[in-house]
Amino acid sequence: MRWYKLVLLTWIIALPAIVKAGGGPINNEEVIREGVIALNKMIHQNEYNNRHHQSWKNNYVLMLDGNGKFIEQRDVVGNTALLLSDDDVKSINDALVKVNDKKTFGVYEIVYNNWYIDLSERIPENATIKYITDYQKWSKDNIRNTIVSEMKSINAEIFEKSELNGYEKKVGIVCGRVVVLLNGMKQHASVVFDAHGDESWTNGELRDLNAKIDPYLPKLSDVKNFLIEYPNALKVAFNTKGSKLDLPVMPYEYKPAKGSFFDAAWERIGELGTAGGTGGENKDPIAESGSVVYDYAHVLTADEIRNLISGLVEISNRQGGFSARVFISSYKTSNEDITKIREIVNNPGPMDVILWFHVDLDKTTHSALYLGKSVPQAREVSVFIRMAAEFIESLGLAASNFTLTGLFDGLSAFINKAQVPERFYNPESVDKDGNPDYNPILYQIFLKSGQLQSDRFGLMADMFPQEHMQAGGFAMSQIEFAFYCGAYNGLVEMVASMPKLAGWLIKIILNEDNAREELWEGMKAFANKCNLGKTDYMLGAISPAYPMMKIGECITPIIVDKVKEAYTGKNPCVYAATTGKVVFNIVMLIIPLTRAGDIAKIADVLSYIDPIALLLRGMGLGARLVFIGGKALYSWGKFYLQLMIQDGKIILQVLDDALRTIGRDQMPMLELAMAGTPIRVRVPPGTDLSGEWRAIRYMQDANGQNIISREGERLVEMSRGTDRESILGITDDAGKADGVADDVKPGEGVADDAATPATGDDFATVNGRVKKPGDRTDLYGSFNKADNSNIPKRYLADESRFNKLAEDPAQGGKITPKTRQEAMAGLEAEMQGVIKGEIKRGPADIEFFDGNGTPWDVKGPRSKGGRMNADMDQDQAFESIRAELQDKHDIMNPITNQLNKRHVILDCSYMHAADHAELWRRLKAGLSQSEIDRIVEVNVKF
Amino acid sequence: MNSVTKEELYTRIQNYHLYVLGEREEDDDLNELIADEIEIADIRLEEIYAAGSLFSNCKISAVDFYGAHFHKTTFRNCVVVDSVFRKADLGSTRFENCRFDNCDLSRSEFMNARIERCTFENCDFSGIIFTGNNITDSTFKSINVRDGVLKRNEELRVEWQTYES
Repeated sequence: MRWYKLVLLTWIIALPAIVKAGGGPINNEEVIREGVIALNKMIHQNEYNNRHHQSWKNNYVLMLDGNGKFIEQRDVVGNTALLLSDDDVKSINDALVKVNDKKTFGVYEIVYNNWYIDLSERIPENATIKYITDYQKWSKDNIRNTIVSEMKSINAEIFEKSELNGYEKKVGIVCGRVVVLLNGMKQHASVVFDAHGDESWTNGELRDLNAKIDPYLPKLSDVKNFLIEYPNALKVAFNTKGSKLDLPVMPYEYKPAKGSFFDAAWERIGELGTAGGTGGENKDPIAESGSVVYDYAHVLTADEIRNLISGLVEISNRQGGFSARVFISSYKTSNEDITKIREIVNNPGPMDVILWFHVDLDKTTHSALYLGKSVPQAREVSVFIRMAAEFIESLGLAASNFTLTGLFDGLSAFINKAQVPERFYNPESVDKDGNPDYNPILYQIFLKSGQLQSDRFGLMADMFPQEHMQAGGFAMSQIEFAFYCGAYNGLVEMVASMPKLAGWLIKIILNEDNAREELWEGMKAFANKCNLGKTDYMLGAISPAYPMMKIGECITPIIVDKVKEAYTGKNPCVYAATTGKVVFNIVMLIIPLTRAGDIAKIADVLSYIDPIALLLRGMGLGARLVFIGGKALYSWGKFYLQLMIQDGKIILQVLDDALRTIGRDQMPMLELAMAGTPIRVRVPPGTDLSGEWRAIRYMQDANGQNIISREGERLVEMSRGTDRESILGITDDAGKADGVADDVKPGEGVADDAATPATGDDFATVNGRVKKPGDRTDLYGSFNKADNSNIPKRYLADESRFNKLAEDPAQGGKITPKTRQEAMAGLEAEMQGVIKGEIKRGPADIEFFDGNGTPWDVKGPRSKGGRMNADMDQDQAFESIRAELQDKHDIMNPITNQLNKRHVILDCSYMHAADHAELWRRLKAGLSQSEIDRIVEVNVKF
Repeated sequence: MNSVTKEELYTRIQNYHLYVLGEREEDDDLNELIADEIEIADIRLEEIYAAGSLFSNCKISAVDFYGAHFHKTTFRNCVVVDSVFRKADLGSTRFENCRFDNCDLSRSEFMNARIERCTFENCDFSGIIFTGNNITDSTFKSINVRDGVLKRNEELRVEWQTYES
């Protein structure tokens, strides 16, 4: 029997020999024997099911539970979670039942949880594959080759020896995880995957198909979805292969539901010319397309094409500028026209979102997605369309929003960074003319992508009284979805322009990385926080109707009370969305008090939010949190303080009771002293200025850093005489007129203040300054000369972009370790929101332009250590920055076409604290404040 | 500093070149070495470490020293042609009786150096930070200084012929 290798994918490496944790090497024969027995048993059971018309009971996924000797299904070492949960296995099997629905194509999958390998020597954290494979310090064998051959032989032998019957084409898959141990503790883990076809596959046939479908597959690290999508994509590619037309791989496949628009439209394929739109010999689909809808199947009427075009264009205009383009072809379309379509779809415009539908004789519809290079979240968009494929079959084209236009509308909202409009979460939503405009697309995707969380946690039930939830008869899932949309909207409102947040809603909708459970667990964790021991913190005055509450009490009642306030008798979806917004506001404001690390992932935003949220810290006596118009504000006399973060900087506003911004000149000023230094402080209008006021302290964030607004204002806690009640003041004139010599941003003097412990991400950038320098002199210049293999993965999510950023245009695009360091610094600054994304490679004179077109140069001085056994040249480090900011020519901003001053990203990754402090001492002495303001610091994360 | 033989230096340079090409990693630094009467030609030595070293009576031709580290290195009686020093660290270096022809020093940090009896001709100083240098009896001819910072240098009998492009 001939077997042809189909594909082998590995990430990371491992496995010189299969070893049980703490045990000796074992014989692969045992693993194979176990697999063969288990697979045969499963196949026989399936055959029995088929004979008794119970094929719906069939299983095609085999989890090797292990016998405690060879392959361990259960978690044994290193707290490694199971590779697949029971629910995951069920989902995979459900997908395989569909793939294996005919006798033509059969796929079996064997999944094991962990193989173990014990190491005797630690693998360096920055070890590359090459390093590991070449140096083989812990193995006589070439580890990588060994694991490849092990996987191949095990898979081949299991499937060769199994009694596979019944399918014309058979594919066997083995997938599992290798856990590498060091002294019994987990060092790292990797996933391996191997697939084989039976003798019916010709040499190279499967390899070619695999190459075609590979771009459409999820990452192998997403094991569940990979095992779902791979067999389906393979089958679709195999089926399409037989077409006489020169079609590309079209990974999505469905049959229109009876009575759906597409079902009716496809009926017209045989009636060329009758549709009227592009039918008839003289109708050219390109000419009629409006560059939007290309009907090469001649199934749409002129009105339908016109309506579709206008609908798609309108959405494009109001939803982020993405351009939908739709191509329709059929089995009757000529190869010449197919070629025309391919030419267009393969060269999309930057903002193009192209869907191509191709219809078979039996109405089976294949579709493919093509995205322009400026369309964000490409992988998630592909997942979205894959999920949407199943209900595209039901789409209409008429008054309902469940249409192709609605699909694009939903997709645009999905990838847009703006708030989610009500029409996506409220089934009773109406447009400005009072017409229903509900669009269920996002909700449908949400439903498909994972289980609900709201029924698992009591908090939801606390927040939504039963009578409110039951009003209108909406499903709980609908209410939960509305809640998420509201939470996201609250987040967007509070922290606009934050690139990191763009993917949060997407994660919730697709339930990626288990985002929903994570959110709820996080909320539950701090909602249940009681007796925090912070009884001096008050979260009162949420409304006059509720008395002050000590945060020492559970937070749940606060949330519940606020949510109840939000109920206005509207339908539960609107109520839930409002709740989401309110809750998220509260969550974000309370997190730092509770230090609820549980929620850290959702709140990657924490580093941005902290300055706002931590206003509460230590100022419980002075400011009260209020919610007005859905905004979280701090009461300030008869006025309100509002803090927002934009582009990584705090914006401090004072609002009146009509939420109008009031100017600083309307606020009385007091001359005070802080630690002996005179300062001027603005206080709320109407404050009684008599008596002896004193400044107590500058307000600080969670990390002990002073809170400083974009304009350089600080918040000061102050009180009068022996008053126990303090109030907040705002320093006047950015604190610069007060003659404070050391008026620097947080971080600049960090080495001078070693007693202040950094918390959280100790190396993060706050207000443009790192909390402390990276001190990784060992890594300076250590990055590979030839490739990116030891660049941290966080910078290689889009490796082609990384390479573009690392290229030196003056040297023909040369990439070196130094330019890689620069690219990492630029990307880190972008990721932390320190500079506006997306950064782009600049001309020969500078490194980058940010999203505003501002020019940035990277300076990365290094301290003594690593390959350099000399002290840091402080004169040179300072002069390099000074010359950049003071002497070099301004650069033309490519967006505004105006000259802009140069800015500097100071990469502190390779500096000791003492060198960092000394450099800042020189910078402060030698640069003006406006020049210092053009410096931002960052540490690369290794 | 340690003196190295021509063979030893070549071995290190070859090793470094292979490292640049991603093929191997060896002890290839040139820090604190003394190299005398050695010719180096047609090789990529990007970002090589050659700090605190002495190159005397050397001929360097068509060598790519992109981003290289020459901090506190001395070049004495050297001829350097067609070579790249873009983004190189030339801080606190010393050049005595050297000639640089057709070299790219763009965006290099050429600070606090001592330059005596040297000639730089047809060289690219664009974007260079050339400050705090002490220069005597030297000629800079046909030098592109576009966007360069050439300030606060102490000069004695120095001729400049520059242009911007």
